Amino acid sequence: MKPPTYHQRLGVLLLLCLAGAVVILVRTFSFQVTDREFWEARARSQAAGWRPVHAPRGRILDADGKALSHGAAAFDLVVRAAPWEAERHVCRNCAFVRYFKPDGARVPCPQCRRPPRTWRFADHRELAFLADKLSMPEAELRKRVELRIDGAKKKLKKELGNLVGVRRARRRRMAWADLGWRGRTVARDISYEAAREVQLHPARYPAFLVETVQSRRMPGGRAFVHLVGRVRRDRIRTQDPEGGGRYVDVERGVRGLERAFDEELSSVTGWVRFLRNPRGGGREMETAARAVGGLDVRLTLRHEDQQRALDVLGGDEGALVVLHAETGAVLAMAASPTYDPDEYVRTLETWRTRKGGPTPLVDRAASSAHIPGSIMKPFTALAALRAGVINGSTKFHCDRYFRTAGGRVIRNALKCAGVHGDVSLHEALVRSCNVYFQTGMQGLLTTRKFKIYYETGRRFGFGRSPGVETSRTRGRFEFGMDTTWYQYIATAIGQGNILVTPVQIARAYAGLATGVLPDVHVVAKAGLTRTPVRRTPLGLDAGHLEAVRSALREVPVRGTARGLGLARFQISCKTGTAQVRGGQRDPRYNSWIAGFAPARAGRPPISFAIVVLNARRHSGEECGPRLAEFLAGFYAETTE
Amino acid sequence: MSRRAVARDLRRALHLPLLIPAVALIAFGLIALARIEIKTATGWMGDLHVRQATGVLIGLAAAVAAVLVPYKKIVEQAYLIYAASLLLLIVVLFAGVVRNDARRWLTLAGFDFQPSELMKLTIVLTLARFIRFRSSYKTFAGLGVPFVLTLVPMGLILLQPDLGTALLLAPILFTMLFCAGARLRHLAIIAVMGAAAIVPIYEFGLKDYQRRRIDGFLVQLGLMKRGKVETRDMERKELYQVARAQVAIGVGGFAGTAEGSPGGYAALRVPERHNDFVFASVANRFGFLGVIVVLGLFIWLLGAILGVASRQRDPAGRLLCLGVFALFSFQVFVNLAMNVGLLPVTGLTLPFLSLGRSSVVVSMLAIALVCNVAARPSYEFGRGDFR
Repeated sequence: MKPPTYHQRLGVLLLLCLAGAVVILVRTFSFQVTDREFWEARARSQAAGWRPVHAPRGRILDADGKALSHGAAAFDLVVRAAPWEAERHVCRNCAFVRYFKPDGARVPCPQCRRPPRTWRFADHRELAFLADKLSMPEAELRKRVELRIDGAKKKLKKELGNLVGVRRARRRRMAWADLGWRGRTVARDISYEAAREVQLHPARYPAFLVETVQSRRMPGGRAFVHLVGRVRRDRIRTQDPEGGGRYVDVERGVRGLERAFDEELSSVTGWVRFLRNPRGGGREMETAARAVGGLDVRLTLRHEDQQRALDVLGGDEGALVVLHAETGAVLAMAASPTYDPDEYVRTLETWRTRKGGPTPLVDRAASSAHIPGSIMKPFTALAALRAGVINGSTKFHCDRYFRTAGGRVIRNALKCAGVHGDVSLHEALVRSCNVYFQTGMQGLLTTRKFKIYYETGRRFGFGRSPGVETSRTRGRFEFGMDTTWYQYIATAIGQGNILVTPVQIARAYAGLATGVLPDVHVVAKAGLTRTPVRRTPLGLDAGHLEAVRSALREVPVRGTARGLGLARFQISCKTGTAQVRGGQRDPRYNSWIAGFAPARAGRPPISFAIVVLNARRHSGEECGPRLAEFLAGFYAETTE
Repeated sequence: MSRRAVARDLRRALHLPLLIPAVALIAFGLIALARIEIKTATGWMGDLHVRQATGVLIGLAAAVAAVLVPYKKIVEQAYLIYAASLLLLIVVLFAGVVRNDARRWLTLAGFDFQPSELMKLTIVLTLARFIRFRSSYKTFAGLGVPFVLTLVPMGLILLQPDLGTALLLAPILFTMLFCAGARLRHLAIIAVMGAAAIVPIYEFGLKDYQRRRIDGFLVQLGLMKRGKVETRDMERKELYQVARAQVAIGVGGFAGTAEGSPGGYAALRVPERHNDFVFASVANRFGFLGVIVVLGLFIWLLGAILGVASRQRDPAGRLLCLGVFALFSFQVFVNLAMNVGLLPVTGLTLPFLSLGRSSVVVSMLAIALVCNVAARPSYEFGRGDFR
């Protein structure tokens, strides 16, 4: 075959050239004319971005509208691993900062074009200045930074552990690269001065960023920390309106009212679509979804009353609960010990290291149940009256010790404090005679009417959640096959198988005062919804109730609470002391006073319960002065 | 040389079918670069056309000088130029300026200069000098010397590393040998051997980023499968430039985009939009009409070069024209194919349009050489197929 001539070969080249041109033209035509809409949509999605707009979480207000918890802008300090770990060099000539990998080649300064030798190695020496602004030692800050970065690396290694071979290497490389530039929070809620220092000097602190976030402030302080609870800030993956993945910060209630009313308090993140200008900045185009702030939650109690309740507890382990006797609205609900909400983590760490002490993290008013002691006697009396085991004139002889039906004398810790002689129900309640109620309980047992006692207790809300929004603790009010005769007898005086919360007791006394059991609520209004008042009639004989009430009226006058200064408040109450541990040598008691008072001095009718746990003294001495102090302040300040 | 002789030579060198598309392309390039902004370490920088214009002026001076010297004399000195170019390639490996992890530039009197750009033209001259009166390349063994002459600078350029420019030398060699009358089966055997070497070169001869670029290209064409996460990662890295370039081209439509529109912003997102991806910027701003104009001008230019090569009888003149043709055509089509996603990203610039003073000076010198050939028709016949 004859080889092609020179001109034929040129022809081949020309044909190839034209073919190439046609291919390029066809491809470009398909891009620019046929598929233009597709590429325009692509360009729009690249040029437009979605920015989340955060609205503040709702506030928690007291009855007077004073904020107990609200959102505020705060600054978080964030460290990025790549600039932190990279070798950092500064141009001697123009101070341009550049990062090199440890084995990276030196290059001229991109700013002043000086040769590579002008680079000066720079350590993160400015950390001392930043630590000073953050009011923490430099070593602490350095430790935190390294902990965050090391922690992230360890987590990543664990995640990548199962991958093998080339894929593993590729994914690791990608993951390391991502890790290097993703920020890790080093310090939350830093001061404005520290945030300003970092933001104004990016060259000085290249590894650090300041993120503006929503933070929860709790002006309510220690008095409200159990009630209000706390929030946790989470970074969650969500979707923008076009379905693109985004990370947004959300606050979630994890304790107390913040958790109970999380739905109402939570805000809705809005989305703004903006046109990204590659030269920097951006221009807002449209609001796709409006950000909606959380709803406010208004409480039934006042800040002053709550603070006073906490003050009278004086840091001892215990609680004080005051309810509106008719509606069940909480007027004070303090628990002690408590903690500063801004120092949650430190509190947790301190308590963990100090093993055995009372934890400040537990709400002793609503969430923990205690042995009630003699404050249960009125309910035993009502059960015995209902069952017909006793009546108003029934008397039992008290020689300090309880005698069984068979005549056996029980000489144990449940004996009376003294010899009461022949006592009626009235006197038994006033003087808190154990033998009277134990004998009454024996009557219930022998006549097989214990069920009436149980049913009466349930009517008063024992063993049931009182309805308070922050807790569902029901205490213990259960009797079964494993309950011994001795435990049944002890139940008559609030020992044995019974555990109650102070809120349950205050609620039960509200029922005793009014004949109607209200549901306890601490929230008056959540958003636009008022909390309905729910009241359940007890269905008890008015005469029986009055018999008990008349006795309780005399307790502060001549009974177990006499001489404590309580009589001047016209209250009806019952004291209770339950030994909980320590034996004869160093006994410790749950010291209670519970009762109710009529409306006076601009205050509604109230019921109350105060308990000091693990106290060294009996109820009168331990709780009486505290209650008197509280009531004095409570009635001195009248509400509008 | 008298002034009259200079004027005569210049007048003869004004080969309009060649100069019109070349000047039009240079002008189009300056207009396109005037509308492109790039981000540098110190902020946004415009006025790229001013930088390019200085290159054009230098190129003009060099072109005038190249036209005045008869091309045969230049070809006579080809080995010397080749040796000087090789020396520069060696010097740049030790004293070159590093940018983007590549050591390709020498700074001479404040100007950055890329010796590999000069080597593109040098290899044309050297091969023309070697092949013109020989017929040894018609044997398989005789192909050895031209291949060695080409592979040595290729190796040095690969060390910089600059894969695109290095790969450009091979088509120049093949085109010149093909047109000079080398046996097609010899060239085919070498091409097959080259193709067979692709796999070992891919595995052992390429840097990691080059291998990932090829992977990305294959993934984009659907010829290679990768996991979802890795594909997304490739889109952010290896396919990033091409994906952005395709959007910029596509959004240009028939008549182009306006500045400040979302479509216009698309061009600002293309990396190397003033350089390797200048075609994407042109297509974005001037639309399909602009593409037709650019492609038409290039076809005109290439056709004109082939026309000169066709009319010229002197083997050295023919080979010079064909070398320049191969240089431009390969550079143009690979760059355009890379922009529209038909070839992997290689780092080749678009002649006359991409920003780069070395590139524009060498391109203008190449055109000047062809003009030089056109201005001096020869009746000297070559051997064999050149007849």
